[in-house]
Amino acid sequence: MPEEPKTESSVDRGTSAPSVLFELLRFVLPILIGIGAAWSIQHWLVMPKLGYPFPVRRTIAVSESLTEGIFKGEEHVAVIISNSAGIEGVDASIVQKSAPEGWRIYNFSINGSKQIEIRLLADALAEAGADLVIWLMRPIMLRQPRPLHPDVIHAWGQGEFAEGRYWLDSPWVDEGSLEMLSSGPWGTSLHFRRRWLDELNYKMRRSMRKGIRTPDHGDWVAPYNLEIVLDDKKLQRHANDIFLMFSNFKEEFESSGEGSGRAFITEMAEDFAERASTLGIIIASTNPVLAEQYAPIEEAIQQFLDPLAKQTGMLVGNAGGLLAADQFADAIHPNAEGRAALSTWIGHWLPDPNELKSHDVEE
Amino acid sequence: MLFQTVEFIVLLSVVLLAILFVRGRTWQQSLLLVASLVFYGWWDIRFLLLIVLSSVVDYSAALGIVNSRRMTAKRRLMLGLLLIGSAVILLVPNWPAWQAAFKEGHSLAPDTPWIAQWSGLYPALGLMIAISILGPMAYSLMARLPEKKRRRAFVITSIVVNLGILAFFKYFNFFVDSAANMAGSLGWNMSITALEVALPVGISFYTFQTMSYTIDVYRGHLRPEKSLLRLGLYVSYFPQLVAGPILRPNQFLPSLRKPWTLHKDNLRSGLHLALQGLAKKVIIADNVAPLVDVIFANPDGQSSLVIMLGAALFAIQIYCDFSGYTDIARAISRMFGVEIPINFNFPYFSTSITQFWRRWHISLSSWLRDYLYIPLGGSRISVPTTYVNLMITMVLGGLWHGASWNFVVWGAYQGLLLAVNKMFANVAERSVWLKRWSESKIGLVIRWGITTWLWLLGWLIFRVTNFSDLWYCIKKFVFFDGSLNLGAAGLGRGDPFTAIGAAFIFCVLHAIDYVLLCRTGSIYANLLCKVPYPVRALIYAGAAIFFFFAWPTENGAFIYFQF
Repeated sequence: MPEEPKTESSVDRGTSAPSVLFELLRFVLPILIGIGAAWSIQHWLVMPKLGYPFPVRRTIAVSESLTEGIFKGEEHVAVIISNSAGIEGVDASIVQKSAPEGWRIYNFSINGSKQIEIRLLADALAEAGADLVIWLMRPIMLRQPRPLHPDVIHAWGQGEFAEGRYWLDSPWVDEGSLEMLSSGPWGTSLHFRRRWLDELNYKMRRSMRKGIRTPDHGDWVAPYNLEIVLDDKKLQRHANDIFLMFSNFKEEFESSGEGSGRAFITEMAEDFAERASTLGIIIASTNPVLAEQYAPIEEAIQQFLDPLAKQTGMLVGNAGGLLAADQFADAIHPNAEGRAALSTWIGHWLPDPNELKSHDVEE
Repeated sequence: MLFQTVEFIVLLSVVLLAILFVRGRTWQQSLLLVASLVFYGWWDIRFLLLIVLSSVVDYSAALGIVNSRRMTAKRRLMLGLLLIGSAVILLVPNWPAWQAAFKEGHSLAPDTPWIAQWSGLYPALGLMIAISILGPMAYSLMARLPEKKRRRAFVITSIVVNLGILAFFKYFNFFVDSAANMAGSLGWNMSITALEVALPVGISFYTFQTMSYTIDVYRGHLRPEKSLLRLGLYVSYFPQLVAGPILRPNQFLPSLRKPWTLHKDNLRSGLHLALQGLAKKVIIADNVAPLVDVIFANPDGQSSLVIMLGAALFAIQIYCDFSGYTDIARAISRMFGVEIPINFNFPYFSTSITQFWRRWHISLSSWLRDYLYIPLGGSRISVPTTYVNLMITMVLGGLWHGASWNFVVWGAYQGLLLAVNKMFANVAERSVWLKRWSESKIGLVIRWGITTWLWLLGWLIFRVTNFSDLWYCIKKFVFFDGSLNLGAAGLGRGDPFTAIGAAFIFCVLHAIDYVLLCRTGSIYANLLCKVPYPVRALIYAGAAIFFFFAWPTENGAFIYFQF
């Protein structure tokens, strides 16, 4: 059996300091040159060629659309924001059809959005001229806001969403995230240095997963992904995972202290009360397989939101028990039928645009 | 402190400069000890007390074994004061809050208390004061015993203290939970509160290392170390402190008799070995890990092919993670001019389980052989006793890895395999035909295939901690279900390309490395030293480019730190 050779070194052999330092330099210098070359390749070749990773492209697309002035010339704009609940659950064209006359509806939901992203998005949309920003909120959003994934922070930073947001300097965002939000283009290039690997992984994943649609990143109408429905066994496993997650966060749901989800929503509603735009929160639909676990939480959310709405002028809706089990693709996401039903319901729920506060008065 | 972080590079640079410019042995060793304590204290400064306690107890016990005149009443008092002083400095201030603030780069809240707030503070302080007072008194009493009893009393004291620390921090909650569960299944309602004890990083490694010191002195293989500074450095030597290799005293202490000097050849060879270890860790192990996590997060429902892929990927992950750490540890030590023995010798090319254990985690398996298997009687008593001894050794070896029943089962599985292997070897010895066949090329390939299948099954037991999931995985691994669909089984998540690509690169490069070793007697890191500098410089720059693009966004801790 061969064995790895021992070194030829010996503790007895010494050498002069300059020769050791020179040896170290001969090692470090090419490495620094290599890192510099790699960083340049990344910045000038890889990022321009491949763009941002797929999961954050929609964030970048939001930034581009708002910069281009997507709402320009529209009189009454209502925008639905959410995570996958809105991606899968809302078709803006259906909402438009059932909504009171005068509304122009958009769906700016982004998969995987956490509370802080929702707030960044809501602020940016309000500033861009949206009259009504509707947050389709899953009950899980009542838990303490979580730190964002570094990829997501860099994308939001790149979109310059963070500029001028006073509330970022608060318990919601840690210092590391704040730094990332303001990292420049070279910092962002460095962060996305595995972009080429992400691209290959993404392509391989897509080739293995069936029933997934790839909508345009800038689809602000019906950006849904899922085209399949889980079978009973997988549905039950998905439901169990969701339930487990809920039982882990029970204390957080009930907390209203500093840093809690309730405090976050309260501050957001109070902030919007001062703005030209109106904030609306709709409790998202729940699959009846989870009704037993969700029902008390939904009731608690409703009890929390109602007085807040009275105090701040926020609009509140509850679509929790709206859909039947066969209107879901899995434990939490509506299928095409559920999407149509929920979108129609949202359209009916919308108030007359002329009943909302006016931009001119507030500004 | 992780090897692949900026703070470690700073620490290493300071130590290298210190060895280069500080010539006095004592000064050098003092600086190395401080560096080692900073390295370990970076996780949680309070755990440095365990290193101090182990060092003082083993230092005293070894001198007690030989009844050294050095242990005067004054020295015993000084050691007692050292323990009390360390306990007060390491336990009383609010280090956890300060460390957290320092690492996260923010200032402390004005209302942060100066005194530590953790619940075990006063019991721990009381215990340390008791040890500091009673220890010197116990030493005086034991020193008066007849020689045989005295030697035994000191070595037992050392073993009890070291194993006591290990048992408390690593196994207390495990045994309490297991006892409560067992009582519950018998209908008794035991309500024992588990302690909130954090596991000190690498505690199993340095506990075994320190135990080998006093046992070697007891056996007469070693003269006790006169300097507490040098013994402390042996216990806490930072390159291998938290994940081995487990050093024997005679592998390290002799190097401390002279000042260390840096040599450019050692530096070059060490840097190459460090680069190799880093590549194993961050390019292979850390890129394979996410897919392994996806597969084993919810194995129920996965196909046989996915379970087999998961086992193979985990085998690569754990090897590259652990041997990558060992390479870096050896590399750093080599830069200092001190050679640490190898811990892995291409274990996945083994053609029997016995051979596997001679090539995998060599420092642990040889430790278990020398300090457990042979003292139990080894293979000298009878054939059945040999099998029992193998089983005891491997079960305890399994438990060494972690306080979990799956490690016990894993150890028992390895013990069983070794016993069957020994049985087969005995039969082969008596059959000329079987011996000739098992050493033929086809025989070796078949033996390699069977051995590989067996250790892959072993890695499943090691990786999957939930017993119902484990049972499912074993069934799928043993009985192939015929499904070839990877996508439907959950590979649509994770980073499949990176993981499978990294595993493929590893397999190719590892096989070439093995062939190189067989043909030339050298591995990559050593061969690179012989390449002309301009080519080497290009290789360094190319490696830097590769590291830049493949280094994971977040640094993953080494798997064996938890042991």
